[in-house]
Amino acid sequence: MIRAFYVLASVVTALLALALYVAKTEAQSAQQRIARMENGIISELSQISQLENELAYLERPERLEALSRVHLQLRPLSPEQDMTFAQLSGQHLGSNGAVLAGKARP
Amino acid sequence: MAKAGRYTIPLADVERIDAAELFSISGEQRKAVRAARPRLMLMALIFAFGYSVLMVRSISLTIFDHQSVSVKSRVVAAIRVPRAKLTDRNGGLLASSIETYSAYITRANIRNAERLANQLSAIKGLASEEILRARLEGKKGRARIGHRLTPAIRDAIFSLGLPGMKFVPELTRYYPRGQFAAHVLGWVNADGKGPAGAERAFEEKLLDKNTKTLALSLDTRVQFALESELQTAMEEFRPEAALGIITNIKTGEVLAMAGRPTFSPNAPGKASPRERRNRAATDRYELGSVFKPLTLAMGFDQGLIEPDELFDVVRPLVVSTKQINDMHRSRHKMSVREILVKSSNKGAALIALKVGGKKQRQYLADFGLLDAAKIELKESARPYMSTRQWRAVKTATIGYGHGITVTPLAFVQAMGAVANGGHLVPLTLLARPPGYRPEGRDVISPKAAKTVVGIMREVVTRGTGKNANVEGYDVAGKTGSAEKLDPKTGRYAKDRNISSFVAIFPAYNPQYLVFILLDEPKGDVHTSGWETAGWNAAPVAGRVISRIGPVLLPLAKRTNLMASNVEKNP
Repeated sequence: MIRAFYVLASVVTALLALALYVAKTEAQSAQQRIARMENGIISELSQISQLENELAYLERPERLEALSRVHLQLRPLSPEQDMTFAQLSGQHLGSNGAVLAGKARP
Repeated sequence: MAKAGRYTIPLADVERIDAAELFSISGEQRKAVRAARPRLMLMALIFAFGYSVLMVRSISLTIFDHQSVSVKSRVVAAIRVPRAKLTDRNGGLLASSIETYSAYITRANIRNAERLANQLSAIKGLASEEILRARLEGKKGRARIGHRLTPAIRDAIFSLGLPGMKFVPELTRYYPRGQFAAHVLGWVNADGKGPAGAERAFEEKLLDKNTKTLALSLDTRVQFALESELQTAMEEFRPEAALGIITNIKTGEVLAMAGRPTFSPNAPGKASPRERRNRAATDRYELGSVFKPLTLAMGFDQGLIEPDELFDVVRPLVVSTKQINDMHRSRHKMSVREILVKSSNKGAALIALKVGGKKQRQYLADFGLLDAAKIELKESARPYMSTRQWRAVKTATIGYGHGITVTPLAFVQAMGAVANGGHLVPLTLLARPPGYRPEGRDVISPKAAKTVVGIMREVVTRGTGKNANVEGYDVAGKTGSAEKLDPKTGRYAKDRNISSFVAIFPAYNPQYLVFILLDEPKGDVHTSGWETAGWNAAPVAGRVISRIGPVLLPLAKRTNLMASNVEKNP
């Protein structure tokens, strides 16, 4: 009787130890996957940061202004160009883009 | 024969032997076993203890301690970047922390330092061949190839396949726009701390793990316009230095602040202290005539003066032993309007004397001019006055902007109160939400403020500030041309001026303030040799307003402001 009990207890203990081992191994695998994902996130965030900085560098106002002048022939808006449609009718544009009053010609 | 240990027993006798008797010990043997028993017990205990330790450790490693067997995340470039980003009010990136690398090579792995230096110097972004060779020479230790290297440079070095190479990741503070808004941003030193600017002012917030981005009040478009015009002014008028400040009068937000000479926050060590200094916050000036609107504001608020009241500026004015003169002597009495439009020192002194020293001091305190400007910048300096005693001569000279030195930021804060209906609000470098109205205090009455702004408009339409007039924006302003005090002689130098111009627009419903200061500008043929503010600071302010006006106050908005002004003042 006692011997049977000992045998049963030993088997149960062994099974429990095995179950614990399996659970622990799976948990470790999951942790490793998480750590790899975290490293991946860090890497992506670092790249995003690099790109943001590159974008800010490319968007420097002096660079955009120079490109606008060369490729689009645009100039900074002057106060004279800011007007309503009603004001625009009957107006003429001068050589510098400014609106000339009345019927004056450039 | 059967053998039992070292005893040999004849086979014939084996059956007759009792096993118990055979293996029993007695006599000397028993004594020996008894003597050895304690030692055996001790050995058993030692082994049992050892195995117990191993068992416990095995269980511990298996069940509890998992970190030593898992893949560790990268340490330095953690998920959370330690310093938050700085942006302008519209989200444009101004400063951020990026991952860079320091590259080292073990000297023992270098076969030919000269050849290696030649190889490495070909990579863009690394030092010159001479510098690299000097670093690589030697037999021991590690040589640093470079630091703050971008991933591209690191990859280029890595692709050379050099043995003994080591790359150490690090975080570097990077300002992608270079010199842009350098004085506002400040920089970060090798210890990771910000010694100046926003980096210092908001150090705690930037290092808070909950802060990802901090939006400053700057508007890139306005900042760029200001920086461009200051640069042009440096070339045109060749001053020793120049600075500009643009604020939202209602909220106190600093939309732009710039100075020349300037520096790149990416390489602060290469700049001199003169270039790194934010003069708007740290330098104190006797601003001269730009102070006169404040004197008028005091007089109007006290009810002591009227716009058309006449003051005798014809007779010489001597206060104590000091004779006060005007740049252009007047042959007739001047009204209060004329005193500001023609910028009469005598007239301003007379008004100040009428206000009185005690009241003047109180007003200066209320305007915030007896203290550092209320802004987050830690380097914002306190004013300086030559003497603590407030005698009549001091009252008179302060009336036209001498006898007290203040920082441009403090002055802008005070003038902002005049523009804001008499209500002073603190300046701020942080972006505020739309409709934000900060807490402040009333310094003068709205009526007094409106009267002063109205007269400042006349300064621009028919006075010394004509070159600042911009069609459609109703610019109000005041020029200031103050002789600088020569510290060696203790006298004012006639050929060294501080030229400044303060502009408020639109005058009928003030929204924005522009302040330009040129330190020792030079005259030329275009200014007819004049070095006064009407010829340099005023036109610079006018050009700035021309550029920022369409951005900040498009026609539709101006129309609304005009309409609301008419509603309030039918």
